[in-house]
Amino acid sequence: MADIDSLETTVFDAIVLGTGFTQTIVAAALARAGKTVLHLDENEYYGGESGAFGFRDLLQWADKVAPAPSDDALNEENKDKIEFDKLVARAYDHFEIQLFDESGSNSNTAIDLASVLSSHSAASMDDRVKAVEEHITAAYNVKDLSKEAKEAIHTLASWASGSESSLTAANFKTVSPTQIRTLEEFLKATRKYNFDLSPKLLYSRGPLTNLLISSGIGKYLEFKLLERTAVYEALTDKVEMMPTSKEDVFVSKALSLKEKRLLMKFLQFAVDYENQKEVWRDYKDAPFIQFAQRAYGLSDKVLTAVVYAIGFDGNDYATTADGLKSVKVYLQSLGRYGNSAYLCPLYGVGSELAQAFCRVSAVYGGIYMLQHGLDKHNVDRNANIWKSVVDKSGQTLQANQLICTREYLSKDMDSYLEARILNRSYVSHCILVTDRSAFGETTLCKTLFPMGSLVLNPGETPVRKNQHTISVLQSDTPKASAKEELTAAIRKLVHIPGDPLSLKAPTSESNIDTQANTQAPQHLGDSTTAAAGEDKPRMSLDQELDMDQVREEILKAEKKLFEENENNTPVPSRPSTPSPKPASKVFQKSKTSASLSTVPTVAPRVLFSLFYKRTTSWPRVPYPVGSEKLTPLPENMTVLKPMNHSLDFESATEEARAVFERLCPGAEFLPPTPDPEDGAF
Amino acid sequence: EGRHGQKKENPESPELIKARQEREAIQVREYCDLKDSFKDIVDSKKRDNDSLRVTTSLLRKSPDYYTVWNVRRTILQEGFLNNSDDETANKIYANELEFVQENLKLNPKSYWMWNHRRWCLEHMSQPRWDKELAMVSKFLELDARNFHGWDYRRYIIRQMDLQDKSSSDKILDRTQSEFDFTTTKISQNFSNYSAWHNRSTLLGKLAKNMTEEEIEAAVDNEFDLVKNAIYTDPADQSAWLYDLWLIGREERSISILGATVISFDPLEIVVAFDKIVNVRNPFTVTTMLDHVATRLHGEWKATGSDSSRGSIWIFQHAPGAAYGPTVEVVIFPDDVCAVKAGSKLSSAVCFELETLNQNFDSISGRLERLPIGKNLMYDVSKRIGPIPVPDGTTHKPNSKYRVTSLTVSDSLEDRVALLEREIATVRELAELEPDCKWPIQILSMLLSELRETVSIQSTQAKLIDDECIELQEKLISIDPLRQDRYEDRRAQLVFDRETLHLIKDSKNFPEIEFADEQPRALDLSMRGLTHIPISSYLMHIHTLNLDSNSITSTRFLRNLLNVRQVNLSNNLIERLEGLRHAPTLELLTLENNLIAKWEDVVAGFVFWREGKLSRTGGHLKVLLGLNPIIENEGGEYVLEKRWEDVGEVGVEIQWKSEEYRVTEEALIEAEGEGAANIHMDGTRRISTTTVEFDAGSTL
Repeated sequence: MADIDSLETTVFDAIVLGTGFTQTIVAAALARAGKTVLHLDENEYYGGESGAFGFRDLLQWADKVAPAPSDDALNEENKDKIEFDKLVARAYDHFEIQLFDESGSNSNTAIDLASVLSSHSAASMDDRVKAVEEHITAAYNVKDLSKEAKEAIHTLASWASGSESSLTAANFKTVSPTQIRTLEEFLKATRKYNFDLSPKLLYSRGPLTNLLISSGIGKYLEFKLLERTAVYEALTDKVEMMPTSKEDVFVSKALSLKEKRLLMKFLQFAVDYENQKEVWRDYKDAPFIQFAQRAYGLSDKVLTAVVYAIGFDGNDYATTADGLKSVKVYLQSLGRYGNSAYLCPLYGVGSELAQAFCRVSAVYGGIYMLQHGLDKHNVDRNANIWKSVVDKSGQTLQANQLICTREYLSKDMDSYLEARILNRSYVSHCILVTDRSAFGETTLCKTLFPMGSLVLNPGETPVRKNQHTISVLQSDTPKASAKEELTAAIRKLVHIPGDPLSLKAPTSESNIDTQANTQAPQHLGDSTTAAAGEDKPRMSLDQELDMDQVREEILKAEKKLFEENENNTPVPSRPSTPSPKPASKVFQKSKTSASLSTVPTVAPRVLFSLFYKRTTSWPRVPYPVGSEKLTPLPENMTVLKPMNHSLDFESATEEARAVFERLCPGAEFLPPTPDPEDGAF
Repeated sequence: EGRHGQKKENPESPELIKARQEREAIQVREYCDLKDSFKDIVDSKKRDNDSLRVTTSLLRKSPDYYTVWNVRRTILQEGFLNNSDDETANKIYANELEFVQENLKLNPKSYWMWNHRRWCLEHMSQPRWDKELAMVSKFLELDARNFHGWDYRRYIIRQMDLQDKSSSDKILDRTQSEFDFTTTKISQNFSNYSAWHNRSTLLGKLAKNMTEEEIEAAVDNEFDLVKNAIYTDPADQSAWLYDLWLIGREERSISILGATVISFDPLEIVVAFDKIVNVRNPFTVTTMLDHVATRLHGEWKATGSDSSRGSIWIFQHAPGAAYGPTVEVVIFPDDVCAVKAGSKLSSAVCFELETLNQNFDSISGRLERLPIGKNLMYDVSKRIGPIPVPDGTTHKPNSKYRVTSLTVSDSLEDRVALLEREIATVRELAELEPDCKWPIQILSMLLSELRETVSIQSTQAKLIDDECIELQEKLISIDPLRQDRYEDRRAQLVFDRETLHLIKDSKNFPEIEFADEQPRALDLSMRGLTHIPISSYLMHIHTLNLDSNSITSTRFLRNLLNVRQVNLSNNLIERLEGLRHAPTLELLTLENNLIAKWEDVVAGFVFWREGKLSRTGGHLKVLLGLNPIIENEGGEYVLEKRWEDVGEVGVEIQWKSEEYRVTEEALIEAEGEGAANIHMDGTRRISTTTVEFDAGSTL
């Protein structure tokens, strides 16, 4: 990390603002191509909107971005100002925190906060929180409160003291001892988990992974494999494990022999679909599901596997061309590093990748400064040229090119962009912590609730169903097992130790009590109005999002996944265990078969949930990636899109490549780092 | 990991290339030095630390250099192990094991390293087989299809079982866990011949300790597993092979179609089987001489060039030797075994052959008069010793029928039910995958298997035959690379269908015998046949029409003991073969074939004549019109004649054996020009439509 005073120069080829995923690729590519790069971030962490936090940091982050920012009118005074915090906070809303309460609000043990709140309604925020805190502490009546217990009570008090409009505040009209204890435990174990703000997966043979390998950046990263993909099936009202590889199809008990054949046949076609245009040409722009159903006669069960478990990239309105492309990259990815098509960085997704790219950039001379406050942009309005950015210390930093995301725009620039957004789009996120995995021993698992599969009002008419597909990524932290000696054979990119995804510093299990050590961070992402930013004219784009409905949808999915979990299909653990019908059952009556690990009889409970909505709005036209810019913005600046709803990084990677190729025409995009053995490095 | 299609930024600079070449040159030099040192060791027989180190370095560079492994063992044995105590020896072996393991990681498919490992373990005082098992498990994790690994694994298990031979429980447990191991491997990737194969042997072992119900449940489980594999990837051969193994093949017994005498001086006896068989012990031939049962000595030979296998066997007694009014041939089950599938004769059979009436006009005439086999077959399976009493019955010694490779049943119906179930599954798959060869091929095999369970003259058998023929045609179109194989199979099926009326179902099904009424003519023209199977069924045929097929060989003629006329026009025959045992052949039409050399014709005649064994005269006419031989090598006037004259162009040979032999030998010696010479020397007249080839003028 550089110190601003130690900079030898304040003039650069490019200044990159924000360490979000896309910016970091661009920065790395520019540095690699020999450009001088200054990379700044207002945050103290890497990754921007793809950041990953421990529990305490997550709460702090939510605390910071949750309040709706005041919006001053644009004037001559503030037009060049950078109001980073404000713009970040604007991108998020509808925050709601819930904590599991065993006793229920009517119970005797609940601590009623209504009186203390109303008596302090006129007091300042700090005083209110203080009063509530004291009230809770008195009622809780536990001696020798730990540091974390005090912190928990303070946190609960501040939640309860929120404004009238705060959804979280409404959930904490009373607090219970259970809630205090739960929060205390979470705070104690805060470093045990990483919570991704925008969880995504990498295709093992997708453009990003290939780039990581070819550029040598993969050396900096460790990955684990997605173990399972499950899909909620409306017909059976169950969350079912999906066969997503040849081996899955082989051992699947859910599919009939004929279904297996049809599924495999379809997949064989999809690998080669580009050479068999005649089969799908007529369906090119039709929904993917329609093609799969009509042209291949797939049964509902198989359709679910193909369209959702295998071919779903986050877009509910995927055309046949989109779907086949996804299926193909999925299939190509299978088997590269094991029986799974997806990789997931071991310690948080976007932030890990972003840091790896930053590292490359730094190796090639890129200068990095986090937590660097920015004040304003200098723009030559006549020439329509961005000149420099001034930081909070008054230092002017110049460059030929500026690359940033929207949060780093000046008031003036942002207003211009805002005026051109015709359709709003959002992603709704819900981070859940549960007391156990929803899928037995499976640790990293993706679950989808297809659009229209969940009935929100069972038994009523008209039937309301979920309007968006809900994706859930579970990354569990099971017992830390010894590293397998032989996984070293899987070289370079993937190192798949038994360590769990989010365990940053593996703590020994005995430190935490039983409830906590099986906590499973869950991430429910609802890609609402997914198609809006993606130039897909099918939806009525301008309607205001019905947030109640979205919350209801996610709540329903949550119920299906956890509370009503006993319905779900048993999960054969894999891949090291035998087929679901082990022959040993037949041969040895005395020995019980250990090959089936079924879903625990106790349904998992949600202990904590954080709901929020993030805007992904972006002007539909005219901003084709990389080729053309929004004209009235200075010509030498590039504004990158927000992270979209997609479940993978491919479109963001492509955007970065396109931006680089526009800035450095003819230069190679992240060429391999030379092999030290050849002596050139 | 390669660079995945990304083009390289800069082509390698000359300096880099040079640096690399220098590095490589050093490596080559080092290797050569090592090899020289190794030579010194071999020559000097040094057995010290230095020589051991040389082998270590050399093997690191070249682990497949097996001589070095051998020398290394000698060094160890003679230089280190011969006077070391147990502890030291074990240390040495442990060291060796580590060395091998380290190298195996780099090269897991080297025979010599696995061998070296075995050598160490077998010489150690207390080999840790459990450690070995864990080690090989890891190797199979890295590459589940490494057959070296599987082979080594079985070896370890054998060793462990040997140690535990007193505890059958332990062995059984181990077998079970090995079986489970194959389950795991197959679940991870079922395209694994080694795993399926191991599974089949382990299952067989486990079955020995199971009740019938348990075996049945296990087999059901296996069918379920393999069906899932087949439906997941029908193009994967390994699962199909396991499926076929599981279904198993009924070992069909050999049937004897009949026996007869074909010559009285010397005595010659023919025995016809329904399959191609090997004779393990010569069949016993006895006769009553002076009221004493006397064994006749002679040789049993199969027809055809390979006299050790065939469906028709001929016994030849010494010329002039005496025999009584009847001769008995006794064939015991162990005497014969089928070349394919190893099936056996279900019971001993005795033939009583009448030799009293020797009044034959010709060889063929005699064959007609003697009803082959009929009323002359006796079952002596229970009464070997005294001359058997004819009762006209045979019985199946084993009343159990195979259902799968692991299960049997009292009822043939169970086998039929299983086959029908399997056929239905494969048929569905074949319909789903019309372009995949495996389901079609297996379907055809299963149908043939089913056909063995039904009466051969039944409508169902005919339907099966028709479907199988259709399936071969489908296979020819989707898998043209293996066209010849499918066409041969198809030819066999067509042939079977067309000759079905020559045999009948015996009351002791599945035994078969010749039909009572033997037709004299058989028309198999235009059937698309690529060959005529070597079959006994045609023993009685006089006239065989094979016009317009795709037959490439006349070898089948060797089993046509009674044939007079064969029409092979419009086929793909290049030479005359199989005539040795077609002594009755009179007219062979070979027009429009591919015969290009006179030698290929003459050689056939030589055998034909030899087949007559100088017994009688004969007359064979071979029509060779429209063959290349006429156009290329036939000599100018033959070619001219062919155009001038209407009708047949060919060679007619009449001979008297002694005289002809001389001519013929002379001709064959003439080598390359032989063909033309045959003409010149042997032809009396080359002026008419038929080229006559008259070796001996008159008798």
